[in-house]
Amino acid sequence: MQTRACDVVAAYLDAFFNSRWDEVRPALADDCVVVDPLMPDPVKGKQAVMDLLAYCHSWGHYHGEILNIFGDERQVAVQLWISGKVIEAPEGMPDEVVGREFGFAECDVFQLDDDHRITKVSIYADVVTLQSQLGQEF
Amino acid sequence: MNDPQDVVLRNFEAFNAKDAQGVIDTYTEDCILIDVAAPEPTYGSAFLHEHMANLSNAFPDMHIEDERLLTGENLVAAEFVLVGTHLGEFLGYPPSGNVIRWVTCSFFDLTDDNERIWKETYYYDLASVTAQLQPRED
Repeated sequence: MQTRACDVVAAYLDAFFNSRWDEVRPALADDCVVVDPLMPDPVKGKQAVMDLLAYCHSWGHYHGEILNIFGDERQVAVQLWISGKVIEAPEGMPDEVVGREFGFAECDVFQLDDDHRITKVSIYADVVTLQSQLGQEF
Repeated sequence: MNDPQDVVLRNFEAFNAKDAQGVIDTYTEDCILIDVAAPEPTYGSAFLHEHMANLSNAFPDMHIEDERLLTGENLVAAEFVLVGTHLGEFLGYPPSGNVIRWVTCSFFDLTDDNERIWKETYYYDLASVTAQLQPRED
């Protein structure tokens, strides 16, 4: 089902993939949480989440294609195909990864508050797939 | 028309009851199973039989916890955690005795009458699973 929450999430993702931070920030609740398999612990709080999102764009040029989006007014599920190219070695990876291209499947589940601000994003993706595409041994 | 969640709940109930045939019966015979950490999709009941047997051998007490379902049109997204004690070889790892928590989100595409699952796409981080299969030092 397409809901206003779905529209909010689709707009948020478009703003994120295009680094429109002035649109990303107000979409997030102050106490929002992001659970990302690339991070050892959940990232909590708007500023910490903004820092994480900015970091994501610091190492890669990439694009997310929404394959499917549905939900109700409080939860939205999204299937995505993420593709791009490394422009700077991510933390813990050697310089050889720069220039490598990648593409992987991801799904995100968003929770929103009554004002349709995003309170939680749970990201499900396989880090090993990304590492192997960057030529890194698992 | 059935509620789309019904077939997924039947699937989970059968899984928790160790009823492999009950799980398999919730899928179409020619179902498509997409594991985002695997290079190719797998198909059909024969693979499901093998998959269920492998899981049962490796994690005899495996069950589903913390499920959250979100419904679309002929589609259900389910966040859940597979919990089980690693008592048999799995992915090449010998039994460790560890209790693992396999955090997953599956998208179940349903037949037009919502009676069966014709495609399941499951998203998870393989690295976080294999890390839990390692022998613990304590």
